[in-house]
Amino acid sequence: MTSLEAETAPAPNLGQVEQALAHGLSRAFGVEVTTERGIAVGHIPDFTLDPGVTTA
Amino acid sequence: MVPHLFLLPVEGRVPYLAGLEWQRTLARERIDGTLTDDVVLLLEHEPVVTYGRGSDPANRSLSESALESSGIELCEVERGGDVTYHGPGQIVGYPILDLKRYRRDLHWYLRILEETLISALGELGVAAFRNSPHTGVWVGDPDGSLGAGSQRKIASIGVHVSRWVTWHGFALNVTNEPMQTFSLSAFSFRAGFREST
Repeated sequence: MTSLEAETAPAPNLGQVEQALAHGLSRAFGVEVTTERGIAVGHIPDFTLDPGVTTA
Repeated sequence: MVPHLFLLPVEGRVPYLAGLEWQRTLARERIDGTLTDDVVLLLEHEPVVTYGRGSDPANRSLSESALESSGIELCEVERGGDVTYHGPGQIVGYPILDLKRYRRDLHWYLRILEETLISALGELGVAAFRNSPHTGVWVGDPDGSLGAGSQRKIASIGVHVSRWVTWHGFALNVTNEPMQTFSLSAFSFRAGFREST
């Protein structure tokens, strides 16, 4: 087992990892990805009406 | 038209069962059409060890008592696969996707999740690869010619699909904390479970 921290120096922060995953999802699935922040567990706002930051 | 997907980073650490119930709710809504878009939850869990159905009850009992004393929850889930640790320092992704929009093929979906992680890790400067026939993502020596320990697993994948709508997903170790916590508690389920974080 390993981690990003063990494999890179310096380790990326969570924001960088989220951004990279957004790009990875876009490339692998061939989709446009919109990141919507401020989500609390159990509650998803009606983000389809007000999309946040489109990353790819 | 290019399909759209919403990525939802969740604030705070999420207890495993709360996250699981949320996934189930979203999957039901995706199946009945109430949820009209595909979403991917990104979050960190409170420390938990999960295991699939079919594991030995005697081992579960052993694990429960030992893990409780470490403050680690133990949960059975509806996916296949090994015992898995989730906790702080690990990003978990739960895609709630309608595969009918893409391809009705679970093997394809697993390979695409691997591709997602490999692509993301590449962007972060880490060369990662598949380790067929195993599911997940590894780093190190791609062909394993350098011997034991030359291939290191960095991300795990475990999925569930109902009516072609997915839940569960992937776990990517970001910091060393998940491995350290896992090692401290590993004694409790070595009796019968295979290890995975």
